[in-house]
Amino acid sequence: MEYIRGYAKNCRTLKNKLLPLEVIEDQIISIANDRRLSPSMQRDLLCNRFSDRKELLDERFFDQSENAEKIKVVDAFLKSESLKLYRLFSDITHSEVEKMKANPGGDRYVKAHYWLNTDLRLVYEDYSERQQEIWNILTSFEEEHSIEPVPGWTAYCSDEVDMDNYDESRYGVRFLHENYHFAMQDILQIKELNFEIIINYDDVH
Amino acid sequence: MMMYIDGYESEPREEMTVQQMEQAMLRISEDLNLSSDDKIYLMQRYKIGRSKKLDKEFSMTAEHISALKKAKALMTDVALKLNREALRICEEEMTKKREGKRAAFSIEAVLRFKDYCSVGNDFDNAQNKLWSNVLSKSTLPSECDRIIWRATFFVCQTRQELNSFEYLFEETMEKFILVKQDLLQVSNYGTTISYIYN
Repeated sequence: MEYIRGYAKNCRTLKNKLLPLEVIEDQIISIANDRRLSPSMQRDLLCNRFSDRKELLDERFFDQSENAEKIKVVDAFLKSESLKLYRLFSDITHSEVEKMKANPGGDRYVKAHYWLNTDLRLVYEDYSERQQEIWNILTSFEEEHSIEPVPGWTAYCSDEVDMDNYDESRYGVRFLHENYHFAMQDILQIKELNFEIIINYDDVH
Repeated sequence: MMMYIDGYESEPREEMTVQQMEQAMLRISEDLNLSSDDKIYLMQRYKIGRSKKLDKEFSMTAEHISALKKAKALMTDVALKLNREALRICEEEMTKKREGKRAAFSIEAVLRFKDYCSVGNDFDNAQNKLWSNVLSKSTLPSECDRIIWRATFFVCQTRQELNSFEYLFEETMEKFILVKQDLLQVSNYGTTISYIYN
């Protein structure tokens, strides 16, 4: 068994069985709060534990048939909110292109993404401090370490903007589940999203 | 008596050259076995040592005074343009809101050091890595660490939060433990405006 500053590299037993969920989550909290660990150590240790947590939670989740209906509701919510964001993004991008035409000489790009609501306590009154802490660690981990932190779009503005087409399949439950460490149970908690559109002005000065 | 932290001298020695201090900073930043706290502590000590040394070497010649004025004017000019643009966008969003359209809740303007490869003209990889540590407030260079100035403009208010740009240059040097030579290297800044929706 390999160790990093006192933590086993993965959280499995010697027979390669997963430890109980509570133990894995305790370790996630300890690792995230351990200032002795460098960011790369924290990332490696958390990555293994989040994968194992997801596996454990999903095993239980897919055993229950009523969850399929709940997934449909959250999926529809995520897709409709992302479509609203895309429309705003599209308007702002086109208006930036018009501005550039009126005042050439710069270069800029517009990015849009949404944040999964990080303050679940406001949405779910019964959310415990522990659940909140795990959720906060998970969402900030994904924002920092994912190749694509949160779903979104980027448009580079030139004379004519070349925008990706909106692809609904990229913004639903399945996308979040397959591309991040969110267990299905985590995604079902999402009731609110925060949007952000960023205009990056480059070499315009 | 010299103290050591995981093999590094806890403070740079007086007789060390700026180059030696910078080499030590690069090693510290890349050391995977060093804890975050130790990294931050050591980096701060070496940054202070480096800035003291460079400040001693800097003389206020006519050439330097003129270059400093230009560097200060560049930063102020970019910040003012950014502020003006954010105000304009804020007004646009207020109009959208009045018309019953979906509008942003707030606008955030950010002035930051750009990616280091575009700082200066012919920086090599090692110099770029060094800049990412020198220009960063902590030892963990991220987008957040490079922010010089940030202001939030709330769309529901007519009076926006405005900062004074008069001391931006000096404040930046203090905040990032930079010296005049460092800011003379910066030929451009990055600006970003974000629309935040609730």
